[in-house]
Parts: sequence; structure tokens; C-alpha cells
Amino acid sequence: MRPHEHIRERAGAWLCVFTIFSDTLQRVPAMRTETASRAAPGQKEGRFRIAGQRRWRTTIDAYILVAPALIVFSIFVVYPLINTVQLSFYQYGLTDPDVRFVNFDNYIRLFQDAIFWRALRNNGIILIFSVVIQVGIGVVLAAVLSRGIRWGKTFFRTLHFAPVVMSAVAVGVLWQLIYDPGIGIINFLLRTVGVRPPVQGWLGDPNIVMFSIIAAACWQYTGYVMTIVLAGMESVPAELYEASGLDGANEVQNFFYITLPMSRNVILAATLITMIGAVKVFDIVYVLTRGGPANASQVLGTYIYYNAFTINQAGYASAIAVVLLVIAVIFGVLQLRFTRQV
Amino acid sequence: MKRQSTLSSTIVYTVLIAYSVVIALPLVWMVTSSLKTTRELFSSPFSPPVNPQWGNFIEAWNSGIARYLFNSLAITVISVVLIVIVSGMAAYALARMQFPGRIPLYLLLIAGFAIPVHTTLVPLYRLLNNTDLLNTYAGVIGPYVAFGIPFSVLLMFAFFVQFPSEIEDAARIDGCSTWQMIFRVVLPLSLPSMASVALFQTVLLWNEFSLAIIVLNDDALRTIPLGLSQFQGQWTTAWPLLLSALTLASVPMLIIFVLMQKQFINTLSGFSK
Amino acid sequence: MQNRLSRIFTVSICALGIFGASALQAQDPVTLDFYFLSDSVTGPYVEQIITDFETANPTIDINLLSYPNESYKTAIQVAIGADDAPDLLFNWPGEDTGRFVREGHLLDLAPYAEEFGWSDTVSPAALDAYTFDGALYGAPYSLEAKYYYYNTAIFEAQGLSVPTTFEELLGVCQALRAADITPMSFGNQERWEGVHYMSILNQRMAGEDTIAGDYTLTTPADALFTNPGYVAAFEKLLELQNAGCFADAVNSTTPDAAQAQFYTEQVAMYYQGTWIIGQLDANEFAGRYGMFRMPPITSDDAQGNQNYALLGPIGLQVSARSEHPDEAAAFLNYFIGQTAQQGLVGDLQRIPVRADAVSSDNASPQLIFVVEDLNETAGAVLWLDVILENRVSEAYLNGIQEVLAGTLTPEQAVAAIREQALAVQLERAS
Repeated sequence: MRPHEHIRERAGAWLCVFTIFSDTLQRVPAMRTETASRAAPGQKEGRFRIAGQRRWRTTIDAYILVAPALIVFSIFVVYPLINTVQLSFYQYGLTDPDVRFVNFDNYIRLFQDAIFWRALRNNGIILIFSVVIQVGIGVVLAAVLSRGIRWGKTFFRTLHFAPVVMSAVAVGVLWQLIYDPGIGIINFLLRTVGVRPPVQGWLGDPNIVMFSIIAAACWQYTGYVMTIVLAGMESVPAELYEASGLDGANEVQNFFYITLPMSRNVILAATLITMIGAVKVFDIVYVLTRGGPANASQVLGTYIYYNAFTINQAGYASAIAVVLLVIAVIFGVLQLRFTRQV
Repeated sequence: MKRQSTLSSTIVYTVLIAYSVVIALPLVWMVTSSLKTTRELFSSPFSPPVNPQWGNFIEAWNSGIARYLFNSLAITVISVVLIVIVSGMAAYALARMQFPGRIPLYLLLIAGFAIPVHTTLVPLYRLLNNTDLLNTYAGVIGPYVAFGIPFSVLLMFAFFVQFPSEIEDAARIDGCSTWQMIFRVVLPLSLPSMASVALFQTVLLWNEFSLAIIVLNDDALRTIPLGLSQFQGQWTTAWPLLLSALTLASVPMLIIFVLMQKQFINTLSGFSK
Repeated sequence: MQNRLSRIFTVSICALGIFGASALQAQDPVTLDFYFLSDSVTGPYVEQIITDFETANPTIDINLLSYPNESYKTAIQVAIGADDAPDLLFNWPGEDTGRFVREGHLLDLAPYAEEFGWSDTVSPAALDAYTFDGALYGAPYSLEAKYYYYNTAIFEAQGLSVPTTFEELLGVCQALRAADITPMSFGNQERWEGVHYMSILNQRMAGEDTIAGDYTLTTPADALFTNPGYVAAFEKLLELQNAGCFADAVNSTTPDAAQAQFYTEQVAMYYQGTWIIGQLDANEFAGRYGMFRMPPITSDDAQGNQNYALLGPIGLQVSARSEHPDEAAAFLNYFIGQTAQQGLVGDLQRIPVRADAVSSDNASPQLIFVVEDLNETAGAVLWLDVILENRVSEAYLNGIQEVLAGTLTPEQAVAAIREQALAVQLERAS
């Protein structure tokens, strides 16, 4: 017996105890049915009851199976989400014992808050540029790796995917050093070729900072998009290319007439994943700039954190969280629709 | 035609290699710089270290990396195991069993998959505070499992839906109960899909930062990303040390990735289709 | 009142405690959590104090948790919000303390101050900064003043002398630039170095009386932050920038990196608090630099006393929820006692809060210069981000970064600060 089989046996035994317990529970109504059948025997009714028993039993089993997930999910996701919505109507700080109901004040303030709009816009900027750069480069890379080269596919794929498994915090710290005006390699390279680096620094200039963040994020995630799309392209039937080869089409034509249309769904999915990533973004911004300089790189995630845990405005933070929630749900539903999970 | 493809393949390789250098350079710089002195870092950022400063690694390791790695490992393993069990059970029931409330329950469980944890930070913080779970492993594991459920259910639901019903029928005829069937038949067959889920969640949780930063305040409990963020504040001028810490922190995941590439790629391609 | 009564009660118990000393030692040790603002140099000093104190008081165990500057404020806020406040905590005076006082998180230390006789030994100005409505909410343990540090070798080589006016300082910058030397480093990534500049420039330009009312938001709404001195102060900062004083990338340079630029001699000057004296010495830079205070501004629109210093205390506090306030206060008393304070000078070259801790035996020439120089000042202002309400302070911190980056004019920045100040003033009135 292989070791894991042994474990499975054990688990099975443990579960049988559980099964007996739930069986006993279910036998109570079953026995009642038996007595009822004996009192009034009738084939039709009996069959109906047996079917009913099985359904009842299946339902109980199903609920037992779903229950742990449902309970954990309710406690740590559903309840906090409801709570967020509630808190968004209060003026409240984490250290502040004074909690006041303020109706829609937090939302009114939100609409007048230039930093909130800037954060929202920054999420938008990240979204647009991530999609264009990551999906753009990712698709071309995937096409090249799937059809354009003869050797080195695994090597390139491994290399390009490697940053994905690093933590965004590590990537942020690394890129902060890369952008550093003193030791950073970007400024070193620019100085070597005689170009003056930006006076305010890559992360210190409000006009540049968002692009510096996007560059770091794209460095990390383009390989991710590439890998997803590549897997999709690999499943395009080879006969299609063989047929078009006979027609005398070249690889560029193949890309536009076969590869792209055939992997449309996978590209769409990758696009939506990238978009959701842009809505959720927090770590890399927090580590690179904390939303600075002067809120220039604030995104919704960091602005919530900043309000709740830096300036003690947890109620206001909750109102921003509600906005983020609405946006996230919209993108989530889109993603599920397009990938046909619902 | 042959001639054209030689030319174009040269171009393709040139561009591909140039782009790969852009991807590789930061990583190479991270590793080589971690072995340099600060002075070398300024004067010759690209040359290999003249006199490798292995002491940087020892110092970074002793400054807490070992402890942070252990915490990350413990939290990730416990969370991932729980996620796989809990989501697997739910996904099986939702995909294979008929019961009232099936569809609404499925929708409820997967609805959370795009929800950022930031939308719940304040209430989670209050909840964990009221239950004395701040600064405990359980304080992050609970939310990690909960936030891992939607995606894992989604993935495994898709697997179970395709699961051939003949196998189940055969097991039923042999007189297996639902439970016996799950453990004797379904579980062994769904191990690959569970491995996918586990792998995906491992990468996610190993790197998780935004929740951990409010729950794990105590240095003894910090995970790798928290530790790195702490070092970033502490060693603002001890760059080689910081880079050693980055290297040490990134290497375990990179090794796992290189060893399990196939599984990573299968996992990724599995859910995007 | 009740506090006072309970004090009397404890005092008599303490008297009884002498007889029951052996019984006391058999007790379980009391553990006190202590949140402290750490840096590379202070860590070992504080750990030494704790060890010494624990040796002298075997029933008390101090659990030190230290955080670097930027995460400290968040860490302490999160802990207090979680009803998990440490018994002892580091804190700045001003609004950082004021807020916790209003929210009832801090213990009034006045009875202990009386018991231990702090008013006889500790600088009254430092105690004042932690006094709110007659109650004392902190034991100050060090003073920090802001100075320009200059590289004496570079100044000598360039034939430069210490500037005696702000205008001369601009001249020094231009001369250094002409010689292809970067005049000053300036690490404003965390935003507080900029706020230190503005704290002293506001005092110099708008005057100490004006800022006192505006910072506490007690100036009437129509006059709040309207003094032209605020815009003028921003313009002075820009004058420094336009004269080429600052190194590149001020908003993305950390204070530590800026300090490193100074002691690795990449720049000639650095404006920073006196706490770096010990750090410069630790980086083998002792004796290679001189110091001068922000020089007087001679332009006609300068409304403040030009002989003010940027100076403030830092201190330790006791949480109102601490279960062991007596033990915590005993630790504070040790922390600001003569032995610990002499160590503060000898080990760290920091300015102590008691006169009997500093002597030529334990203080470096730089520290002695500072102590003597501070005696000649006409007065002192605190860091403005510490005095201002959270959100107004944030508006200021961000305004400075934007003015430096050129995305806001001084007028726009002051307007944004005034707007935020008015909103908070209104909220407080309701």
C-alpha cells in the first residue's frame, strides 16, 4: 500500500463515523415513512417517498459539504462587506471612541474630494496602460513563442514568468532601488549615454510617478499574460496552420487570420484579469510611493488604507471602499460572463 | 521562402533577446548587487562583485528573514490546505448534487472573486480585534481562506462539472454512500485540479501584504512581504543588505516555480479558458 | 480628584511595601509593553536602559517593540484602535499627543511628576509641551533642534564662510554650484524634512504670534492662514531651490539617503535635527563638520523674530489603560533620570532634558556648541506637522511636496491648506 493510500483509508474511516452519524439523523424520518407505508400500502406513494428520501438525504449531504465554505465566507467576507457599507454612513476613527451617524456626508465629501478623483483616475490610468502594454506585449510574445521560434521556448517562458512569482512588495522594493537617484541603474544608464535623468526623480515627480509605477507593474505581470495567452494559442488545432501553409500564407498572415481569432477568448480573459488587477492594485504603489508625492500616485486601495490607518478617518475610508467594491463587482461580473462561468 | 524565414527568425530572436534582457536585468542586478559593498554599487553597478560579500546574506538572514520565512510557510500551508478542503467540498456539492438553493449558493460563493481585500479592511480589523485575533496566525488565515474560496470554488466547480458521471453511477451501484464515493472515487481523481488550486493560492498567499500589514503587528509573526517592507524602512541606505534580503525572500518561490513549471502553466491556462 | 486619592492610597501602600519587600519579589513579574521609535543608533541605548532598569527592578519586565519612523505612527494608532495600547509609548508633543488626550488614551502623569520631583530636574519648556489643561501627558527625555551641518573641508577648499543671513546662504549655494558641487541634500520622500523647513520659515516670515493662532486653529475663520507670510515662506523655500541649493529628486530621496549623501561628501550641507550628531559620529564623520542655525532672513516682509530656533522635545507616555501605571511611571522616571540622561549624551550625543546630564566629559564639541547656541535663542517653535490637526497637517505635507515639484504655486498651496483648516475648524465648532 502506498503511503497516500494509507492516508486516504484513514480519512475514509474517519469519515465513515461521520457518515453513520448523519445516517442515524436521516433514519428518523425514514423510519416514520416505513410505518406510514405499512399503515397504508400503495406502490405509487411508496415510490414517491423513496425518491423524496433520497432527495432529502442528498440535500443534507450537500449542505454539509457547502457549510464550511459558506460559514467562513460569511464571517470574513460577507459580514465585513455589509459592515463596510454600514460604516460608510458614520464619522468614525479607529482610535476615536466617538462614533457619529452622518448620513450621506461621507459620500458628499467623496464627490468633492480631489484626491479621491485623482485616485480613481490613477486606477483608470493603470488599467488602460496595463491592458495596452501587458496584453499588447503579452500577445505578441506568446505568438512569437508559439509559432515564431524553433528553440528556447521553455527558456524564454521561464524567464518571463519568473517575476510573477515574486511578491509585489519585493518587486516594489527592487524597483525603488532601480529608480533611486544615487544607486539606481536607470539613472546610471542615462548618465552613461549622456542624458540628464528627471530632476525630481522617477518617483518624486508627480507627472512621471504613475508611469514609473506602471513600468514596474508591467515588468512583473507581462509574463503572466504571455503565459495564459500562450497556453491558449497552443490549443489552436495544427491542421489550420497546415491548411493555410498550403495556401501559401506567411506567419504574419497566420497570426492575424488564425492565431488571433482562435485565441480571442483567452485574450479577452487575460484582459479582464489584468483589469481586475488594476482595480485591486495596492502593494506595489504602497511600497514604491505610499501614494506620493503629494497624493500624485494615490489609488483607491492606498487611499482607503491611508484614510483608515494613517489619518484616522475610518468612516470616510469605508465610503471609498464602497465605491471600490462597486467597481470590483462590475469587473468581476464581466469576467465571469466572458469566461462563461455563470 | 526558406531565405525569408532565416532573416525573419534573426529579427525575431534579436528582439526577443533584447526584451528578455530588460526582464532579466533587474533580477541579475538584484543578485549581483547583494554581494557588493555600497561603494561598488555606486561606482560599477553592472560588473560582477569584486570580492563577494557573503556576510550580507548572513546578516540579512539573522535579521529576521529566517523567522519571516517560517511564518510565511506556516500561514501559507495552513491556509492553502484549508482552502482546498473547504472549496473542494463546496464545489463538488454545487457541481454534482441537486438540492434547493444550489444556484444562489454558487453565485454567492463565487461573487467575491474580484473583491479586493481593502474593501473590508476596517470591518475585518474590528472583527479580529473583538475576537482577539489580531496578531495571531488565525487572524490572517481566516480571511485568507475566505478570500480564497470564490476563485477555488470556481476552478473546481469547472472540474467537477466535467467529471464523468459514469464513475459516480458505478460507485453508487456498488452501494457507496455520497461520502464513501467522495473519498474513494472523486478525491483521488480530482487531485490534479486540487493541486492547481493549491499552487495558485500558494503564490497568492505567500506574497499577500495588505491584510497582513494590519493584522500582524508583532515582529515575531511577520511574513516575508511584511519583513521586506520593514527592512525597506530600516535599511534605507544599507542597500546591499536590503538586496540580500530581497534575494533571500524571492528565491524559495522562484525555485518552486522552476521545479513545477508545468503545473503553474496548467493552472493558469485552466482558468482563463 | 479620584486620581489624587488613589495616589495617596498607593503612596501609603508603597510605605508598607518596604516591610513586605521579600513578598513583593516573589510575585509574578509585571510585563510592560513599550512601543518605541527606533533608528540604527538609539536601539542599543534603549535596550541598555531596559536591561539596567530590569536588573534594579526584577519584578518588572519591559517588552520593547520598535518601529522605524514612517510605520511608527500607523503602528501606534493601530494598537490603540485595537484596545491593545502598549503600557509605554513614544510620542511627539503637539497634536499627536493632543488627539490621544482628547480621545482619553493617555494617563495624567502630574501626580508622578510631583512624587518624583520632575519639575526640579527636567526642563520646564519640555514639560510644558506635554502639558494639556494642567495635566501632564508625557515625560520628555530629549530635545531636538534643527541645524545646518556643513562639510568644513569643502567650505575651506572653496573659501566659503558660514552664512550669517539667509541671503548669504543663497550665495553659498550659487558659489558651490559654480564649483560643480551639489550644495545640500534634502530627503523629502517621507515629507517631514520639507515640513521642518516650512516650520522655521513660517515662523520667520509670518511671525510666531500669527502661527500660534493658526496652527491651533484658534484664529477666527476670516483670518485663518491668510497672513501673507505663509506664501512668502514657501517663496523662500523656492528661493533655495532656484539658487540650486538642493540635490536632485528631493521628493523621492529618503532622509537616511540624504544624510548618507552628506557624510559620504557628495554634498556640502544638510539641514537636519540634532539627533544625527551621534549618527554622523558613528559613520566616522566626527569633527569633519560644523553647524549653524537657519540664518536670519533680512527681507522687509519677514515678520518673525529672526533669532528663533526650531526646537522641540520628544517623550514617553503611559497608556490610560495600562494595568501597571506605577511600574510604568517608575520606568519613565528612570528613563529621564540622571544616569540614563548622561548615557543619552555620552552614547548618542542627543540633547538631554536635564542640565545635570551634560558636561564636557560626555558631550562632543558639536553638542556643546548646540547647547550653548540654543541658550542664545529668543524662543523656539515646534514642528508644524506635530502641532496641526491630522488633515491640515497632511495638506501642509502634501503642499510642500507639490510646491517643490512645481505642480502648485505657493498661493495655491496656502489656499488648499486654508481650505482644509477652515473645514476642520468648522467641524470642531459643531
